[in-house]
Amino acid sequence: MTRGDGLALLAAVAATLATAAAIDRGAALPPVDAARVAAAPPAPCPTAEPVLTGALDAPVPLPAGDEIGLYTDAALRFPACGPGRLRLAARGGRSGDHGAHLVVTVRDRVLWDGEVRERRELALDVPVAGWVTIAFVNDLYRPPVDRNLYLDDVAFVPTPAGP
Amino acid sequence: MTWRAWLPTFLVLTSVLVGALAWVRGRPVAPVDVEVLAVASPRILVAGEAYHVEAGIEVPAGRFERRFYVCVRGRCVQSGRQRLDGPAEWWGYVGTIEVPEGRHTAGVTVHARTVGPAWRPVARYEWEVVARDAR
Repeated sequence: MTRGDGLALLAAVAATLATAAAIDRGAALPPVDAARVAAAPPAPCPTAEPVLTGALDAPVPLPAGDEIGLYTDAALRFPACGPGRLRLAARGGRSGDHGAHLVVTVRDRVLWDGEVRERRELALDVPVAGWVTIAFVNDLYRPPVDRNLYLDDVAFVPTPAGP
Repeated sequence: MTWRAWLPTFLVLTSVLVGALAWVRGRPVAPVDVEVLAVASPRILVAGEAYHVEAGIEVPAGRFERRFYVCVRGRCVQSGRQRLDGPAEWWGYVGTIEVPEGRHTAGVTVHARTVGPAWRPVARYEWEVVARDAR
């Protein structure tokens, strides 16, 4: 076997392994159908109080009527059993160059996506049933800068069913 | 021997490698088995800033392990693996995205496996992000 043949062999093996690695990372997997992402919660579907998830061992119920401080990246989530209106108030803490970034989603739809500094009251239409997430995604702790997000008055009012 | 003479050997070796990989991957998890419940990540962000991606998945009855890859601009980073006893939901941090100015595609790939050595991608979710200048 000549040196050229050996290199060709190595190239074939490397190409095979690279393809396998790409498949292993999911590169060859077609995107999930958006309609399947965050499908509606299973019936029966009582719209539950939001719970906190993220860098925690277990979900924590959101205290009703109280402000909750997110001191690390985390998300509130709850199942919306149908369309409705989500109300919440948010404010960002000391944030350095940028404010706390809040993302609100249902299924594959983004309902709110932006920075929050001063207190801001939001009223968002939730057009479909599905898991609603309220996420703080850019925590920063670099003393004396400490970027946090504070939420209160989180409430979901379902749209009344038609006659 | 010429390169052409080695071609059958290349093909056999390639077939053996692909077959071995297919065997190692073991009992597959069907794509419908693991469902992405939600992916929370910004679409409009600041270039050079790091943003967490939070997600929820649901696994069927059985014992699984899960891991995530978050990919941006062709670079994928894996987050830690965890064992799940289904049926169960899992919610939490799946990775971080940080991009330069411009428009990019980000993606989360969920891998799952039953007890054994074989990982298999079971779901993927992609979204567009637009990064603006930090100034």
